[in-house]
Amino acid sequence: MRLKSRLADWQEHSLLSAAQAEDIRVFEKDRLRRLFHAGLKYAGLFAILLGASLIVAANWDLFSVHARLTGHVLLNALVAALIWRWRDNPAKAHFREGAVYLLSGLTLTLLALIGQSFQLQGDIGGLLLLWMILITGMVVMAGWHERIARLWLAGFTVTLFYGIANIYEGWPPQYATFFCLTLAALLPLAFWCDGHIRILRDLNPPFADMLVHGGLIGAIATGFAASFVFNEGAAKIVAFTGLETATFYLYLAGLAGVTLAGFVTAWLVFRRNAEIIVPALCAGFVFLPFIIPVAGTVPATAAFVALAILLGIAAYQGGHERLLNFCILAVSARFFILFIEVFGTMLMTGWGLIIAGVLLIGLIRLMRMAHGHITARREARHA
Amino acid sequence: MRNALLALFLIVPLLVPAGMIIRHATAKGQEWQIPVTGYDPRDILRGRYIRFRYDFDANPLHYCAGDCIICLKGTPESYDATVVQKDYAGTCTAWINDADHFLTQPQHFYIPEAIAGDADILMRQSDGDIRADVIIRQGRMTLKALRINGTDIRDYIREQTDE
Repeated sequence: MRLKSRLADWQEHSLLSAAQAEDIRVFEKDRLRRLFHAGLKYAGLFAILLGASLIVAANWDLFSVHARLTGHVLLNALVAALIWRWRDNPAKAHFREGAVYLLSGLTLTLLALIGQSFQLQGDIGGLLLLWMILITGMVVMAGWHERIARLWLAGFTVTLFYGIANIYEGWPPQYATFFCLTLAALLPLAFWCDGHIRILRDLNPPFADMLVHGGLIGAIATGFAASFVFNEGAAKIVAFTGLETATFYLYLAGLAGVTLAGFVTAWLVFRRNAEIIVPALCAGFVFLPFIIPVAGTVPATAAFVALAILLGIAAYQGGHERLLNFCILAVSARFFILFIEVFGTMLMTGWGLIIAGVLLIGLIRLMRMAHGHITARREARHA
Repeated sequence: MRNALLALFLIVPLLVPAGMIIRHATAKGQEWQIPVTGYDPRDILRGRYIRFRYDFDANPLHYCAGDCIICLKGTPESYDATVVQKDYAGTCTAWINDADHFLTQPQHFYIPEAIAGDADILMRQSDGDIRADVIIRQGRMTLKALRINGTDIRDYIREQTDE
């Protein structure tokens, strides 16, 4: 519903006076205009940066190796000097954020240019890893805005996926598998813990918040992704490692012990923060396909739904409405995916499409009912 | 304390790349010419690099177990290459670490976008001798240039274009 008709509706139901409605209209109009101008400004800036990058990328060979590298280092030094100059100036906070963003990008392009100029044979994963190591301290110390923190997290995620791909290409399968299982079980917890460390919270609260949220989102994504291991079965992973089943499970038990110790320590160190239940549940579901080594779409769906229900209960108890809504949506979506997995070929027929449509409407109705029921119960409890 | 940390984290992203530049720019060592083969200019080159493999004409990798090197004996103009364990590096005129990488993995040679199309045609049609100029020092091999019939491939293309 558009703002105008919505305001009229509220006025009609005596929720809003004519003067208030007019004030809201003026405020929204002004905000829209400012947003439009800011959007145009950023689009222009982006076009300039893109154009400059393309010119440099297409013509780097016109300059000698030493000239282009020296020029790039000097440019980076200039931006670093600007960040230093604007460090304690609140009036220049936006410029400083922009400079941090720029220097992060320039550091990556400088490393890439060094690779090109000296014909280095490293891979993109290594390049991104070195880049993340070099910029993280600067982002923490000078990027005091959640936008920069989110960009850092996006960069970290891309680096992580490239790193995992490299590990699976270059490492023996058993090392690669256990390294990735360790990451799945403990990396979200490490993020969550880092975000709660007092020194970091004092240095850069938006960055610390982003680490906590990143840890929770990473845990949930990993936990749900782990349920899909049931589709093929954990036996396939055990076979991939080339280890004897007993040896594999011995190592897995060791990893489970380390994970448990990590969570207990975090629970005690961070004053029994109830939020830790989210990464703990998800870490448990990373191990579940190995504890119950069955294969098929039904166990995969069951694991997914069980995790969603458990997370939903935790969210309900903790009053995290967004997570609760997400869990309800996830359960509905997973049931629909199950239908596609089991009766996929039926979708080729008219009846298949009709059943899918009915199922989708039914799931949405169920989802809304569940949401309404949970909200009513919570309100009754608060009353 | 805060300012000291900020200064440190602003300087490190400058110092590390600067150190890399100095290290590679001042790298010294004997220059060898290694034949290359299996170059694939068909589509990758459209990006910005030529993909190729070194043709050391060495014994296959399965003759060596563990940490293996490519051992070069002779002169840069005429040499024999063998794959041996790293313990035998002292007996080689020059050696290259990570034999598996340099014998089996594709290598990249970056070239300017402007000559990529011409290099594509040239390498597809050429039946000439293509070699890589490399500097080998203490097991590290640094690629300097690709030569076609003795001429740097970038100069070769520019000469052809000028004609």
